[in-house]
Amino acid sequence: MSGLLRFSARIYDVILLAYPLDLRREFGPEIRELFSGDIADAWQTRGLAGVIGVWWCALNEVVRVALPGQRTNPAFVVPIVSFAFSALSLGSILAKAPAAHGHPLVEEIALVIVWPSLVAAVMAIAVVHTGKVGVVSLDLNSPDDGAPCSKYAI
Amino acid sequence: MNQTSNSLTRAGFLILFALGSGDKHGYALMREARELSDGEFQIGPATLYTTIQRLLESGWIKEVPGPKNGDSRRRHYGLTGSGRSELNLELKRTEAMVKKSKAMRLRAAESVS
Repeated sequence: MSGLLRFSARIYDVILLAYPLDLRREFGPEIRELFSGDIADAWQTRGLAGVIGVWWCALNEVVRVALPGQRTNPAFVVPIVSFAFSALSLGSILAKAPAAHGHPLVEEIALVIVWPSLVAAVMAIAVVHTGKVGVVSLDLNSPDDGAPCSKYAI
Repeated sequence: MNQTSNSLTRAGFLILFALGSGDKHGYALMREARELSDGEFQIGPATLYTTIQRLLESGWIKEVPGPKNGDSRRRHYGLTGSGRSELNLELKRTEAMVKKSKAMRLRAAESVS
């Protein structure tokens, strides 16, 4: 069973990346340790049902805590918006294009929509990290009021 | 700047409540918060530390030294003076709400009969 617990801890490490950087810097090791302790405890007391319960809670937190916590983080929001915008634009072009053989194939969708959208997202990440976007400001944190970007839903 | 009383969330309230009986580390806080809500309210690790971060920023809790023979990796937290005042205020508010709800139930029973 320790293998499953170790695997859970590794997956949770990846999930932790979705949380705001300041939270991870300050409490990352403690959050990880708490999750590992909780899941080990759940396995001992309630078995597999307990482990599933802890995972359900952890995934629920991603939606309720991590994503709202990132909504003002340009490094998180801009690539997602870029991907979505690019995928929507290219998808609408593909939908209107005369189909040579009925519905578009998975390879065509990947070629026309997914890969270019991923490139757009990667470029957006690069732009956000270099901080140079010409005349358009990427600072979504409203610098006028000096508000921190870590505003959580909880 | 301190949070206003109205912005104290349920997780925040349970953490203040759990710290009311003494300083605790994160795991103990998580377990006690679950027990206080009879297991109805599950605080996960991320929710716990997000709330702890906010309570620290608000000045309602502070990091305190842990016991000498305890695990040195674990950080312990305790209530500040303003945190204890906030907890007392919230408990009074809750008591008042319970009294009101009881009174309302009585009135509802009277109106049925």
